[in-house]
Amino acid sequence: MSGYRLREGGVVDRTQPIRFRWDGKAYTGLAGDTLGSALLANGIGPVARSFKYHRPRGVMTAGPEETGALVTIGKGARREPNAKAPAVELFEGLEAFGQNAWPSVRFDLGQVNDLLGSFFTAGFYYKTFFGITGKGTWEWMQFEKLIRRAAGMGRAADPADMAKDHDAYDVIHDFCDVAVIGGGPAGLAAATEAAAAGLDVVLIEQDFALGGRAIGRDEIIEGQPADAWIAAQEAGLASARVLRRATAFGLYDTNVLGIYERITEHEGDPDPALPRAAIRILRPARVILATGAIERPIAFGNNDRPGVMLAGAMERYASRWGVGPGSRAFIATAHDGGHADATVLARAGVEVTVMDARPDGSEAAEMSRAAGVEVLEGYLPVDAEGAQAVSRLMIGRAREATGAGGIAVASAERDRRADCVGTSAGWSPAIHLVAHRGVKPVWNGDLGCFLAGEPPAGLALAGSASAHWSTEACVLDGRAAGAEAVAALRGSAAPQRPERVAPLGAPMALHEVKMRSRKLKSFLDPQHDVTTADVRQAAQEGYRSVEHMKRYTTLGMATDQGKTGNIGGLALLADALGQSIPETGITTFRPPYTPVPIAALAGRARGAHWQAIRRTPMHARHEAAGAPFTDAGAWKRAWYYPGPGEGIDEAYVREAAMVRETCGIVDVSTLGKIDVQGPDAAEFLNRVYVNGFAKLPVGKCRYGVMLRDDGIVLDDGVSWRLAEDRFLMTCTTAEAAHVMVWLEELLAWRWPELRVTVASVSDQWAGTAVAGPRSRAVLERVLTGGDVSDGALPFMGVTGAHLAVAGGVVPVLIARISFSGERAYEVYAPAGWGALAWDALAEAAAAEGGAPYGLEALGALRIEKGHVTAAELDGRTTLADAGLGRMASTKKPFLGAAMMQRPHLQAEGRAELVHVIPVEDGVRFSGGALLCDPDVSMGGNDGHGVGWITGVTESPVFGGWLGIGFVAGGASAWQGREILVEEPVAGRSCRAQVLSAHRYDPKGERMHA
Amino acid sequence: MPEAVAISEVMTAAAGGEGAPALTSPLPAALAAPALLRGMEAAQVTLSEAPMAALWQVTAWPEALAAAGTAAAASVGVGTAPGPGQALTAGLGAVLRTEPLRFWVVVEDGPVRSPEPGEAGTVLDLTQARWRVRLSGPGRVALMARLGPLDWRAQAFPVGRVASTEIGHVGVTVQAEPEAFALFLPRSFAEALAGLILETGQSLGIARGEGVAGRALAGDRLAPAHKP
Repeated sequence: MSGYRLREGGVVDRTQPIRFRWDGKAYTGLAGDTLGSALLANGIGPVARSFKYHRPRGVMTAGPEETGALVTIGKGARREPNAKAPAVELFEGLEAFGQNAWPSVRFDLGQVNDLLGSFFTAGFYYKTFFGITGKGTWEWMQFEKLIRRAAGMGRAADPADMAKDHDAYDVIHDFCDVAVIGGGPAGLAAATEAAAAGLDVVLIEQDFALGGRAIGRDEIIEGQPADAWIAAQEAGLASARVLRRATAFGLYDTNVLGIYERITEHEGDPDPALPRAAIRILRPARVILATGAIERPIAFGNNDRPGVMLAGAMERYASRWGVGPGSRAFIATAHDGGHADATVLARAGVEVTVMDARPDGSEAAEMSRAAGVEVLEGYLPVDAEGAQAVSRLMIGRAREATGAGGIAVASAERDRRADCVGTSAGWSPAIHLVAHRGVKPVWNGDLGCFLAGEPPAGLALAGSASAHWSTEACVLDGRAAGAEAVAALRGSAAPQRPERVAPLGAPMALHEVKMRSRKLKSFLDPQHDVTTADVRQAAQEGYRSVEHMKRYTTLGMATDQGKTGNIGGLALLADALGQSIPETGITTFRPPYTPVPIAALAGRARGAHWQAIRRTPMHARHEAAGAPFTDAGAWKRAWYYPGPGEGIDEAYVREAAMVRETCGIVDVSTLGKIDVQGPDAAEFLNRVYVNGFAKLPVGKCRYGVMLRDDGIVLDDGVSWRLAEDRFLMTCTTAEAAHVMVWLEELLAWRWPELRVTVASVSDQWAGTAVAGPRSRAVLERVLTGGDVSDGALPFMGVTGAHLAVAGGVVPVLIARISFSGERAYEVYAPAGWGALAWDALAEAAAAEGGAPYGLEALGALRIEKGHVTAAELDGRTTLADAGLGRMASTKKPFLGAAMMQRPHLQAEGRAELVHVIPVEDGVRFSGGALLCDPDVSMGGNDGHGVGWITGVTESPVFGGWLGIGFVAGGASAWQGREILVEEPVAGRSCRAQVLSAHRYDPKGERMHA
Repeated sequence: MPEAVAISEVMTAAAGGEGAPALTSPLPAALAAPALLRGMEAAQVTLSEAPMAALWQVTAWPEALAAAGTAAAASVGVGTAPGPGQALTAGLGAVLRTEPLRFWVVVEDGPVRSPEPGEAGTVLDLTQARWRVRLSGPGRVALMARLGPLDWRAQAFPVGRVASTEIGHVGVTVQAEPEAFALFLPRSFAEALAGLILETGQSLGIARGEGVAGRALAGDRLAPAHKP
């Protein structure tokens, strides 16, 4: 590359060198540089290889619209591919690398693809779906391997590295009166105007410096030199929040802005306490888009060679960063702006030739000549020559008049020495954000660009985003936009926005230079290797819609979002289709405007904070006992309490057997608990549950099942009648939130006449179940008040009690309920004393030969007993399926009563709850296994089998492996027959017996004892 | 034979009573604040525990809203019921309008007396269902902006404002107090949310202030000092 640091000029600190590494080699830049300017200043090139063809690429722009210099920055966990070098702020210690090349971007074996370019034209990927011989899928599968290997640019950080050392990101919710997007002249003017009026203003600028294209520019703004004017505006923003290094990547409904804010990305040694970046969700009352404009390139032969760039970018590198893009420059332009850029370069000592495609002399051309610039009017760039970078440029005159489509036909005339070429077909307002709001762009033929349509309420565009091209006009328009926002928020009269000032010389439409005599490889979208020929091919193959052409060719897709090549592409499509640009339309701009890391969108919601962990009041006690935890929704539940040398199997079997023999305690705090109060509370439950609750006496509880409207079981649980007008409803851990919402909906919409209030008290109560033959003795050891004798507290009775704990006495509610099938009690203590109550009960249980047991043993006990959980009540199960059909009252209406009578739900042979045991000793199967009729293959049953397993356990009671699940017809239909338990994924199968699920203490004598 | 204990006694005793032990904090003492930023001498935000003597929820029947509100307010010595999203404070505590038909009565110190809305609504003890923490310090608005999606600026959420929002996908009630935000965390989520608050506060500089668990012995969640 031919770039170098100019002897003077630029807004960089020449006293502050910044050391960085490129492809492992040390270089030096200056404070104020970007990686792009530093690479240019050091003459480094090429810096990238293209996507498909692996052609060498250099820096092509001076901002996030970059399409050439896509590089990898950082190492290890901080490695980030596809960074756009001109948008990367240079910092001490920055390490950057070329990508998509082997062995290096200077010499890349992948460049062989360029020779095979005719195979990689538009849509080649889709054509591989059909294959060469038409064998379709099989051939695609072969191509797929190659394509997948070749696809992508750069490599993301290794997940193993990120797991060890990942960056933090914040998500910030913010509000303000006025948000101004863009810190260029228009944005600064708008923001200072609004801030001066006392409004809460947020200014968002993607660059690390304010001023936009005015930075370093030799011009006077409002009577001040540009840099002094910028400093004055910054001073005027003391009351505003100025977000530098922040990109507004999306504008959403009601003008909500998504902003990606780089916090430490630009630091070599960031404070580990700070996040790398943040997503700021800003909700302003008014938005002013001063997002500027993006220069359009001109497509000509090999216009992707390193050294070819946008003319405005060449000016920026000279003015802002004091970098000469080359020593022999050509600028091809079709409007006055190219002359201004040429003049800047000439003043910096660069030998410059301007090729103005317009045939007639203009005032701008005379100004260029006066500055020592060679001006060739009516000339065009035809072909850039050179291997690693442009070294010569073939130029020529237009042989045919350039039409509205902007396609010039030229013949090669002269071959000139050149080490950098700038092109400028004009400027397109950056209207991406307003387009995110669904505002359709409108073509303006006079300006040769799309403008925003009528913006929605509260949104305004200012400056070059609204096609004001001079700095003076931008500042005027910005001030008016700021004043307009003030007037809107203060309710005063809005000022008049200034009219657009026409440029001195009329611009000419120019998007492509082509030759009749030979084909040129001319790029519209270098980032995706999309050429002008690709667009024509798409049109020829029937892709007439601009949206289809975009997807077929990949023009302007992904991170580019049509920033530079979009207009040229659709102009060529319009030409190929013989229609106008407005008839052809424009593709839809979608967020994000520039890439946003997925990790930033996640913010703090990762790792332990991905889902807030819910802990019971006794959690620390379980931890201290060495219990592993298992997840039950957000809850952590103690799984088992391993004894010395025990694994889970030994531990839970021991715990389950202990409960059957003596006693155990288990943490049941996770059960959903709902306070139901009011004079109609009993009537409410009577309607919700299938069984009756109206006559349940105070001091009693009852098991209830509730159905959905469609007759399927929603949930089950026990409701305790605490007073005439008050119940404590318990529901399953899994369905607690669902049931709560369901009850609120019923009261709000269906039965607003009922005087009932419901509230979750799941966090108010800590629940401990005490189960086993010695459970009453356990309670008697610790109660200082309350009678738990069988006479005072029979099965399904409820009472209050006082429990002696360390440091005092705790009031508790006790219900005699059993999930295990043994005599059992649930003891509810206020949550803040739950751990103390647990301690006391654990000590008492130990004295009776018991101990805590975990969720696995709880499951074993309930499977043996044949009790259902959410595993069985899975949204498909009817009351009868669960063996609870007789619970449904015939004397009162209840929710789901009508729909449960549907023929399908009453059909003979539905799957019913059963026990399943393997025929052979030592054989096991898993939850989720399918049950199949051995006389009918799975295929004969449409692969559905005749049932399924919902839970399994080693059963101390029955001595062996035990499953619970559902099978067609229930146990009676399988009497005397074996069934197959199939686990096709695991490749296992075994024979089993089907038995009643209610074999353990079927009369409930142990429970009622 | 032990003396029978009425269920109604238990339902009102959760907010504290004679012989009740000290409340335990759901926050482990080991839950430490992260290091301050380089060069930062003082934290911008402090997370403190602020246990309540009692928290009652009063839900009004629609036609009796005024009477229920008055009863709720009177129980802590507040003269009138607050409007929606508002809190009124008096010597004994505060009354918060958390929902259109719902009030929270926060008792800061004894005597703890249940609100008595009578026929106007229902009362529910939530004292041990929520664990209140406070965020204080000049960075509290910035921290709240990183936790929840509401406008926490003083002009939009002034002292006396109450809102329900989500923090870490968990429903949390927030009250703006002088120089602080009070956060009523669901007790079962308190440790997780406090961890999230401390981690998020790192970029602003956060400290863990005095509180129940903050004064407890390391590794012990018992709070020896607080007694409702």
